[in-house]
Amino acid sequence: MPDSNISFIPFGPQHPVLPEPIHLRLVVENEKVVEALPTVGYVHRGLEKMVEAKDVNQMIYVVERICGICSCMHAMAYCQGIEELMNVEIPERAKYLRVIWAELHRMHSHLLWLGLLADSFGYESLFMQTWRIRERVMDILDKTAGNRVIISVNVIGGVRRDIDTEMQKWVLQSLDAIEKDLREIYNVMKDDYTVKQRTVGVGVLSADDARELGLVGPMLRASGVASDHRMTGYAAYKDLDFEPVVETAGDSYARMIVRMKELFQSIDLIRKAFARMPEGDIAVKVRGNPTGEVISRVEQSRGEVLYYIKADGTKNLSRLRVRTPTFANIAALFKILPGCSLSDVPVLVLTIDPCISCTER
Amino acid sequence: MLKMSKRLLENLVHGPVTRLKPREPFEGARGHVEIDIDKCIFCMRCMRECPSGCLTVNPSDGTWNINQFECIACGVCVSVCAKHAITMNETPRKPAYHKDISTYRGTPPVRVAKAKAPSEADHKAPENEKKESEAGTPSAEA
Repeated sequence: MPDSNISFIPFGPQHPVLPEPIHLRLVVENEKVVEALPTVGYVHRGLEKMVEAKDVNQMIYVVERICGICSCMHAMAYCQGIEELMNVEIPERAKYLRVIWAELHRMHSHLLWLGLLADSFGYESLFMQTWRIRERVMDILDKTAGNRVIISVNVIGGVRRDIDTEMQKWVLQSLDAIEKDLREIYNVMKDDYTVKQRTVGVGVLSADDARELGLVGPMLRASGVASDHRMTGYAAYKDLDFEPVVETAGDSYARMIVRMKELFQSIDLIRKAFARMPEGDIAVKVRGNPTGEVISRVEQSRGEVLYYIKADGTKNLSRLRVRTPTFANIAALFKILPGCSLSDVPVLVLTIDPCISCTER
Repeated sequence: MLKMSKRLLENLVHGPVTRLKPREPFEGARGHVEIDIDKCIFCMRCMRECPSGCLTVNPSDGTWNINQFECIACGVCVSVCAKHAITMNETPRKPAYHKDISTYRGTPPVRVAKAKAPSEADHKAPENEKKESEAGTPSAEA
């Protein structure tokens, strides 16, 4: 056989480095990846179809379960879409509370990802330290919203819980401690020899490639494109002046730095939100059923999520379609995997922050 | 490595960061759903609004059933309960060997007979049924 050096290696769906099942068919020449073909379809649950069985309000709790890590943002995108359809203006305080919980979710998602990345190149102690910090964020979520991951605070018309002054003080104190710990981790991640060896110059994506592949979120920002859907000013983001975190290198290291800097940005946003949050109601009563169609977009921790909602005035929606950020980012694998070493595949697969349960719904 | 060493030494003497289970829940945590069945008027609103469909309310024989293993502890039933009969317990339920359905028995209110129609006196429909809004009305916990 002329191509005797070519072999096929199945990577996944069960692999120690993968938090969720994705299959990669790798064509390798010696130790070098020549071609990679991702396959998904292992955790499809048909959640979009459930609009036929669950009514508009019940669907909030279904979309929250599309993905645990960004459940709050899923519910936020869904509720914002329905509110737009029904011309409901939610109270200002509710908008700020949504931002606070969304940013807390972004923090725990990024911290989880950083731990998984450290784990993927065998830096176990860094992995444990990152998750140690994450535990504090989970405690904040637990104490403010009543649950650690799926917090179920969003409803159509506002939020279900308030954060009082005493709780705000406690949250801000916790955030100070988290920021102090994060600085330590940031310095390690930024300068450590091991981390740099495995990430710098690996899986480089140029800005043009990133744009052409239609990438979203930190993947796009790490390639030098300042695209952050929060800048459009949904919820209370319009009042919290901030700039998207952008890195230009486009390699795995840049993606890591973008996510680390976004952690500090999230802490700042939560502080600003607490400082500027007005007093008042947290929800308005919404009556009736939605009619029409709408596209609702929210910046999740992995990138922009898109909700297409079509309603016909009955209590059940006629169509719900979700395009999650990982669906867009999987395209990057076609570009960054060919040419890399086989040992870099786990790190590169993780740098897109794959959330397969999101992708397949 | 040296940057982490201070933290690593601290971790040696520091207690665990995670809270072991079973643990003291935070105030307002969503553990499991409970009902004071004497307050319940069997209006069935909780059953209609429940996203997971774990509740079965039967006004004809006065039973209120919950499948705690299907319950997602979202708290919707707590917020829609007109008589505040349903409450959220902060502690999670203990593990069990069998997925039993918890059944509570109460007395459904009997509609008071009107002078015009005495023959309907034994009608078993709950009296607050007419107060209920259309399904699909969003509600929020204050």
